[in-house]
Amino acid sequence: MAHRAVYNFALPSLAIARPPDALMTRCSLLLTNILAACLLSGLAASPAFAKGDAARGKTLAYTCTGCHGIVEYKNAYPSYRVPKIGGQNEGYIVAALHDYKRGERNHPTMTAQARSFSDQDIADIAAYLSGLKAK
Amino acid sequence: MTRTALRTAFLATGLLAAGLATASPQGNVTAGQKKAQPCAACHGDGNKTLDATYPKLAGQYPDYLVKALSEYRSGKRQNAIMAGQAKGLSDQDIADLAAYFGSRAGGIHDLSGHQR
Repeated sequence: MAHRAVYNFALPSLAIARPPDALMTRCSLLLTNILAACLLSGLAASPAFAKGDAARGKTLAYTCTGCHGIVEYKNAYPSYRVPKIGGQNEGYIVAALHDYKRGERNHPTMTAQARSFSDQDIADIAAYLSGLKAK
Repeated sequence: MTRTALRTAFLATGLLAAGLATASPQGNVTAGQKKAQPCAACHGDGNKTLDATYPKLAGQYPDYLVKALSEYRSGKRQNAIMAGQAKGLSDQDIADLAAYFGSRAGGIHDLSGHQR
């Protein structure tokens, strides 16, 4: 509470102290921010393309590394190597997880994982995985 | 004792033979390249796809690709486009396509090193 009061007080005094051109820049920055916020909320509102947050996706994707993080890791039965998903296309990862969720793809572990994720979780995971570079 | 061991050995040989008989055929990269032409319409060169909803295939594990195509063909994995594409493929076609895409240098990778 005390911090907030200080912040509110400090802002106008800062604005006055700055030369007029800096004030203009601040105003146009504010406008840009409002515009960006409008655009982003518009995107978030469309259900098919929830905007992914890669930072949040990183936390969520920790579980994935249990299988997808081991080189040549094999699914027990039938035996095949679990797919490489780092750097995979964002839209495809979203589609794959939704397919598991809906039962259009069947794999016990992946179905359980996908069902535990919200649409936003899936978007975040896809944003994170698609942006990864090989280590 | 010896009899049981013999019986076990006999059984094991039988199971092994059955396993080999059902194993998927060996894929041929060159043959796969020729068969992969229709794939390019969506999957591009395997790295640069037409759209982000289509997966990158270059460098993917061939045994995973065999499983994916086999499941599209059987209907276990449901996708309108891929069901049509996989319907006419033989086991050999699938093995060849998987070998070809798996052999290509690709940008996809496992998550090793990304554990935290």
